[in-house]
Amino acid sequence: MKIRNICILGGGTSGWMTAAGLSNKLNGLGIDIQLVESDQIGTVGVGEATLPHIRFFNNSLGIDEREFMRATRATFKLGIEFCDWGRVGDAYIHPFGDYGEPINDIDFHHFWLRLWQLGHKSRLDDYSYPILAAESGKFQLPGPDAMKIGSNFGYAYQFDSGRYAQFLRRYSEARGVIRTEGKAVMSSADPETGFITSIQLEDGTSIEADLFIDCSGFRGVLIEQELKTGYADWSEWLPCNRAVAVQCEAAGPSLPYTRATAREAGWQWRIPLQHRIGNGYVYWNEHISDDEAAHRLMSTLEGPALAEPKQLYFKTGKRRKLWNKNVVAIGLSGGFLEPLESTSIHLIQEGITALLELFPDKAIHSSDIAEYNRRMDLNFDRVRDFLLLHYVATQRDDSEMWRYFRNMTLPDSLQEKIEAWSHRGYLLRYEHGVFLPPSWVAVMAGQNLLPRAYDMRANALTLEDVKMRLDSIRRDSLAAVSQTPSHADYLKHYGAAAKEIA
Amino acid sequence: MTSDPLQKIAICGAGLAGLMCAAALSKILPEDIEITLIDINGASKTDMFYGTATTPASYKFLLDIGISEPDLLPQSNTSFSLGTRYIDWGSKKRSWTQSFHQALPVIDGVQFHHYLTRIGGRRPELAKLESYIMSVQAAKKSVFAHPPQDRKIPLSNVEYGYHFLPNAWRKLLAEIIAERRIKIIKADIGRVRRDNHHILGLDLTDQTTIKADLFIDCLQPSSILSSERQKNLTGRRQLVAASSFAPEQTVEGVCRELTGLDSGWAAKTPLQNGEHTLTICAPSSEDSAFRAHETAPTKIASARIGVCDKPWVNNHLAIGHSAAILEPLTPASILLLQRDIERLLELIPVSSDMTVESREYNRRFKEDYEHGTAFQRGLFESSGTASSAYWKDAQSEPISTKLDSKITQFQSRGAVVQYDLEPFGKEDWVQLHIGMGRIPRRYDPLAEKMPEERLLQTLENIKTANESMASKLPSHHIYLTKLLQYFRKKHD
Repeated sequence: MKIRNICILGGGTSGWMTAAGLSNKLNGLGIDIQLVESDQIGTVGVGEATLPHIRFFNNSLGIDEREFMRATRATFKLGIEFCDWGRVGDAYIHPFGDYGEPINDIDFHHFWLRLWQLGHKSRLDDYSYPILAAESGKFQLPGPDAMKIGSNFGYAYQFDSGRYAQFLRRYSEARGVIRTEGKAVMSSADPETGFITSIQLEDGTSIEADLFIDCSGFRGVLIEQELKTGYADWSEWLPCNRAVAVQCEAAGPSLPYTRATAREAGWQWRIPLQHRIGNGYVYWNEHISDDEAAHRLMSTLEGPALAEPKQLYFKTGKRRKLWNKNVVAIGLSGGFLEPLESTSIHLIQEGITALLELFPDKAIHSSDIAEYNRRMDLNFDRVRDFLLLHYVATQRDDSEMWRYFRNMTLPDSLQEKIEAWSHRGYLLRYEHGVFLPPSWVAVMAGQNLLPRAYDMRANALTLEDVKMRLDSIRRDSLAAVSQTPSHADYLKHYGAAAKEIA
Repeated sequence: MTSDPLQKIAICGAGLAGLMCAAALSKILPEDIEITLIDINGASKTDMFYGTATTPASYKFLLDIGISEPDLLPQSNTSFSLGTRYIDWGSKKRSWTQSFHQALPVIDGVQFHHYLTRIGGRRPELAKLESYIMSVQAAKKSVFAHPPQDRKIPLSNVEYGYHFLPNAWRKLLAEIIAERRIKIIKADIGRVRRDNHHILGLDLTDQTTIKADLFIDCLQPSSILSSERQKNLTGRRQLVAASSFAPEQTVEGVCRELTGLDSGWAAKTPLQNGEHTLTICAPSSEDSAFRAHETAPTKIASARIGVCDKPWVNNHLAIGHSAAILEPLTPASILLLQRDIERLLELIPVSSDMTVESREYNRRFKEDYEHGTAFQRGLFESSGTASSAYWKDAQSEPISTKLDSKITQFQSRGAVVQYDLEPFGKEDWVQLHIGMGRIPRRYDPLAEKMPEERLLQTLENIKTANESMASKLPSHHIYLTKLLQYFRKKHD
């Protein structure tokens, strides 16, 4: 028996991304998709910054980049600048791209380290085109020849996630998704299987479906309130549990990168869109009060605030089963990881992709659920480790929070990665997971965690040869940046700037 | 670097593993690292268990250690391999070609094999995966040419490995390293000086003592060098390998043929100047296995199949057969030896403290062998009537959780479950599952979206393009003969 109806509970970023992804792929298969949302329930609008993978999502939907960028007031994003993470006063950019290029299959950083240890010190950043471009506020799309500097980097967007949801709503409704206004108050389940059979709305309407996607946010209306799936609490590792967010006017031209500044009891984000800047302070409430956090945020805005600050409460972790019975939790209902590396939207996207690849029959096979949960668990675990890295690869001990991280016992998976890097610049690789080795290099080297030794194979080249190669990469990168237009100009000429702004 | 950098490496054993390792280290490590190879008697005793076929990964591996095709082909009787044809395999006597191939097409976001499941319900004659794989079509016609870059040409999807003989590769490798900076000593080990698990030195029978920072053990399991951890093999099966060689003027075939027998199996491998036969059986059925050879087998070896749990302990690293012996049923045996060496190259210790290196090496070793043996275990049913000791033992080997998920998911819905950095890819697994008769019960519902007419046309196009390509290619024998002539002419 095939699935005939799908009900997505909750609009917002995850709800409409799911609706768009499913309606595009399942179009023509006789499957009805309904989305229930209530104007009374606000959306969190998770992460306004994204990872390059979102381009694959948009492409698969056949979305025009310019149109999408105009609609969502999007800017281009080359990476994230981390300020005050290794030490107060430090700054580095985690770019979407490699540093230099491997020589004889040996990672570039080993050659860089060899020179460094001999006293020929240089910034690793100088071998990364996206970093250099970001630092000078420049951007252009990668060129067609992927072998060339200036062509082999990734990029993402910073956008208004509320507008993105609206954009995808229009897209989904055009592909047959029925939106129902209402608030779910009750659900019915099959007494034998425990599968949810229908949800009832406040006005008495009942919506039946074979498969439910829970996009109801932190509450997890179906996955938790109904199915009592349980939550794996990760606040032992990532203890920040609140955030306060506010938008402000932009003071200067928009920058092609996001900024995350470490604070005494958390960190602060700055996400530049075309028309405004998104700001937020993520903090651990044991070490700073809500008022103080809000004050701290408001006092660091670079332009007038556009609204009252909004308070958010969360507990870092993940639903024990992201797919349980006939309910799949996508978005905040599935788990929450602080937006330090812009992973929220990415995890939504992974959820949608995995669901489509393992799309079930009406009698849902336990093997499909098991495989979905295995994949998603891996995604969550690996993001968690990468986020935690930022807090532990640091010399900071100037507050209670930083001292807490100093004394922490890390997950083995992370501990081994850090040890192998520190000992010899070796990177433990994996294939399935979002952050590839260059990202790990960016954070570890960026936070002053330099290896004590490098791969001995890097000594097989003569010193002169190594110097020459490094010089040439640095020169070419700088030359490519000098040819790159400013981000603001590029947005305009590319036709991606919204009319009222351009 | 650190204060006590690695200076000396001793490789113990000049069998295939030791020689490959020596070639790799001498090519890739800086000159100031001293490499000694101790040529110990009997080190090549189990080399037959590396089999006679490699995967496409060998091309780059050999190139990296300094051996390109113009070195390899004229001097080692090596030929090209498009895969293995399994014949009368298992209790159901299945036959299929397990080929090397690049990604099968993904059409409208759906993996190719789902369309075959869809069409198979009504038109089973159109659902044969082999018709759509260029490598299989070439293998069936015994034709070959190097794949071109241009993705529009069907041949560009073909990948190839090599057919080889361990003793021919040993000879070639020995010649190559003789010209490199390796110190070679021919002697046996009289005594191993140990301090706990740390090797202090080896007293050789020529009265010398070898000291080194790292000892690479390329002997057999349970040799004089083995540590307790290395003796602890997972497997229980004992297998006997026997080989014979029949010289031939014209060798047709670009695919190894592996036939299931009551006693085990026999593989016929086409090489440059003859055909090699390898049989594998349980010790109790040697007589019947030996009858599968046209002439009496010239080489016989016996080994216990299994994987140790910690190949690297302190300054003692076991690679190849000293850490694991696999049945040479697929190219996994040689592929995993290559991976042992690659893993070592990435983890050459930077100081006398090898804690990080050994832990990471052992972690990757465990995963690689887990994935490699899963692929081999996938070639056997999980239950059913077994006719002889060989099949009974093979079927009673446990099925890992990972293999179980792979089989369950594929049979249930054609989904290919993949883990990190597996030695065998999606295409290998799809061919294996389908070859073993694991036909998915469902297919990706998105495969339903393509109108039937377009689907039929698409399938027809791929099939015709492959057939037409195959009919234009030269026979493997002619291609190889001409290539060898060209290499030799260039060399003179």
